[in-house]
Amino acid sequence: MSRILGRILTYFFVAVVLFLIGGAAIFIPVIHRGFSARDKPSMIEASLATSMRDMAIPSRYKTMTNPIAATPDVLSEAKAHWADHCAVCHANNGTGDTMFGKGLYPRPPDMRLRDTQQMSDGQLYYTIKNGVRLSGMPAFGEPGDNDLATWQLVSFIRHLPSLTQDEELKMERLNPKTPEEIEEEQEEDNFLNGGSSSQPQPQYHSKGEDR
Amino acid sequence: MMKRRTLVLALAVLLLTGIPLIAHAHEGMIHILGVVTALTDKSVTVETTDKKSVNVVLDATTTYEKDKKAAAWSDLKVGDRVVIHSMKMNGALQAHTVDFSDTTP
Repeated sequence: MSRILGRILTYFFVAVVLFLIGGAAIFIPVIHRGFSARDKPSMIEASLATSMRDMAIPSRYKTMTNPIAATPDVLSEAKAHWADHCAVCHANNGTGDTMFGKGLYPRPPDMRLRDTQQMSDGQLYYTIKNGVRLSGMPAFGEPGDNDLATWQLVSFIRHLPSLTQDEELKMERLNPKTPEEIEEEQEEDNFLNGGSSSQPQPQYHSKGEDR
Repeated sequence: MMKRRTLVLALAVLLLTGIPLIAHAHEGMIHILGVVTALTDKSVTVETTDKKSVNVVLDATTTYEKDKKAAAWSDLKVGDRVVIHSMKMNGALQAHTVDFSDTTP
């Protein structure tokens, strides 16, 4: 009996030592290198995070459908809302290809693609309302299932795969701008309309251009 | 010995001045305002408002806008006023958006 117990303890000890060596082999280089939001999540991490996000959404939202129809008026309001609140990270076209989006960990997904489009209306609604923990996605507005503005955004997310270049251009005018950007835009419009520009060329701009 | 010291000094100057300049150019957009003086499907040459000639590369990702409406490369012509938002890539200016009008001053 004591021999069996001794063997079990030996196996256990060897397993613990191997576990510690394996852990050290993985973590020491990582700690030495540090962590950066510039990295791309590994497949395992991305898969785990997606599963956790899906688990975080109550099951009743998986079958919930959008109560409002995607009429031109609804989409127009949603585009203005998106351009003002969401585009800074997600881009007007939903690609996530923005200055902030590129620096987030994990990156915002390309919402035109299957991973987002296959989510139910309710799952999209819940994600906007409650955010995603351990990501850059905040929770918006008050809790509840009857926020029309959020349902309009869900309609817009469904519209993203067929968004036209003209729609994108109109949204660009609704993106938040600094006073300097507004001034610069006015100067450019003035130049295109036949006015003159006193700016030395080319002009270098270091921020806010990637929206 | 002197040669080595000069080399180290040159490298230090390059690190202190050259890299920030490169990073600045890569951080954001470079805006060019001017009139189109030459145009091919690969590039556009612009005489800027301060009379410099600047060549900007065009590619499939470049978007065009004329009078606030979506347009195409084929709508652009020599003599048009342009506002180009571009990025410096591999030493060349790469156009992101080309806004233009055929307004004459």
